[in-house]
Amino acid sequence: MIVMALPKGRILDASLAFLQGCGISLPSHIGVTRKLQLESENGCYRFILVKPIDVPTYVEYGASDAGICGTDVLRESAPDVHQPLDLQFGRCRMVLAGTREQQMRPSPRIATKYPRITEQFFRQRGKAVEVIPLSGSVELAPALGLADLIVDLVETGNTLRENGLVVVEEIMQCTARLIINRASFHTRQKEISALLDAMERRLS
Amino acid sequence: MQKPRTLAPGVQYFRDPESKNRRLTRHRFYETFEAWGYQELVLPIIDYAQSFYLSLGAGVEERMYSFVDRDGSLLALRPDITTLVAKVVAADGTTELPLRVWYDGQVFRYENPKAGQQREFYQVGIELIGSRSAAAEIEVLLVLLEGLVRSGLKSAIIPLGHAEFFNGIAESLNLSEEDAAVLKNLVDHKDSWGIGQLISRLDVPQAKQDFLKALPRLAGRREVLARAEQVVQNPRSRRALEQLAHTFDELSSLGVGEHFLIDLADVRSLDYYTGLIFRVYSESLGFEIGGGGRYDSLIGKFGRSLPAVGFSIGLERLLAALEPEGPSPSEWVSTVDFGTALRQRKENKRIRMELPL
Repeated sequence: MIVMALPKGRILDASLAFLQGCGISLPSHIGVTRKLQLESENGCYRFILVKPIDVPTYVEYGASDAGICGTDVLRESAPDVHQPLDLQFGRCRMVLAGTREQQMRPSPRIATKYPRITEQFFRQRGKAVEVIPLSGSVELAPALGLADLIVDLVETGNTLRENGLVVVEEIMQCTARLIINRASFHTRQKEISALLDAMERRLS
Repeated sequence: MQKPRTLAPGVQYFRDPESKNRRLTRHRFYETFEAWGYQELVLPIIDYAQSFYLSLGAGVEERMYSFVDRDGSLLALRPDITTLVAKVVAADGTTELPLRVWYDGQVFRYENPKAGQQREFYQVGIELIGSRSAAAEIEVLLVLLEGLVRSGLKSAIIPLGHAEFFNGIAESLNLSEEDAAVLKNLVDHKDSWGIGQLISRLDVPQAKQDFLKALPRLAGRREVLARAEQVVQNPRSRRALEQLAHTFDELSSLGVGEHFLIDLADVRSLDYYTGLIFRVYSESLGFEIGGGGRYDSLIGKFGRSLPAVGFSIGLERLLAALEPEGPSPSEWVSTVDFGTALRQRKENKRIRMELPL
């Protein structure tokens, strides 16, 4: 049996639809019930539902053999895992955003759920910034004077607009990725290989 | 001011029965090593930081505990023991070859502590020095397997790879050093998608594009070698495939084939290994338990060119993969009288003095 960690929230429904499209039989109430651990009826998979940011942790430690998580989470937590496939759904952009009249200060304060990505982005440009880690409602930060700019995910841009923010620069494109534990890749070689085949067929 | 009362991050202590399990497990390896003719080499914990840069690359700098000696030279707690083996073997010109040594002890790496990865950890391992033959590699793998089985790990899974397989591919593609490093990192993460993105911006012929995208999937049973053979043309990679096939078949004919797999996309530590590369996994653990391979250029860096092959096992990780052994049932003689105690000890009975608190 393969244990697969799925992210609750934004990309859960798309993940379930994708898995179904790959011919993987899903537990009947997944996505509806509050149960966090569900087994597929043929006993081939156990799915666990966790916070998106925790998916890489479960997989890196081998508590899950495989997992689905966004590029944003993958880059932020930088786990030591295999990442064979881009699953082509959950597409969005990670952007640097600020108020329209925003002027770049020499070392601006930046609020974000992604401190590591933010630091890397500015370090590559040789720019010193002060990163303010938040865990949600990041769009509020500039209006309240907590930060000059934010780094966050944007799907439609509505949340930005409604909070008086505009995109200053795109940092990266994000999609859903499949990740696999390094030991499981070999110790469950047959099952993992079948999973990869099914997903590759679906994606091609 | 709580610091004096807590341990520093990344270090642990062990007490019975854990400490005993550690000792027993280590001894099962030592017995195996000595029975195959390996001799113990006891090495210092401190060495010049320079030695480790030389063997592990400058990148090791930020992962070492280093400090300045009174004369100003930079020292380090060993992040690896093989480096020290290489250094003393190179310095000792008279040794008879092949040389078989085993070692054990603490190593130190400045990494974020997590399950199965502390900053201080314990390694046991062997090095077989002076033989370029495939037989040397098979011997090392057999010793490894016996040590694992004796320590109680029955279901070891050991994927075999070869440094020259990827080196041959990188060379045949004529990649810049930078692009080769990017490709290597992608292969290390078995990132077929990322490889696709990379080659779409490089000038790679179509046939090779498909092969490169398939490279991360060149892992599994023996048939992987045949699949690779059909698509790889360059002589370096083909030689690597021949050698791997020979080693794999030899192991199969010895009746231990079920423990081995092939992983042609194993590209970690390519600066270190020059031929066979292998890692040890178990179904019961999400981390690598140990690994090793052939490193024919390391000892030469210390002044004496000698081929070598070896492995090391991380003791903490091995124990995490094993079912914990319960305390062995035993009988004790309790007494308040030292005369009784001495008599019982002459008969080798286990005694426990009852002392007032």
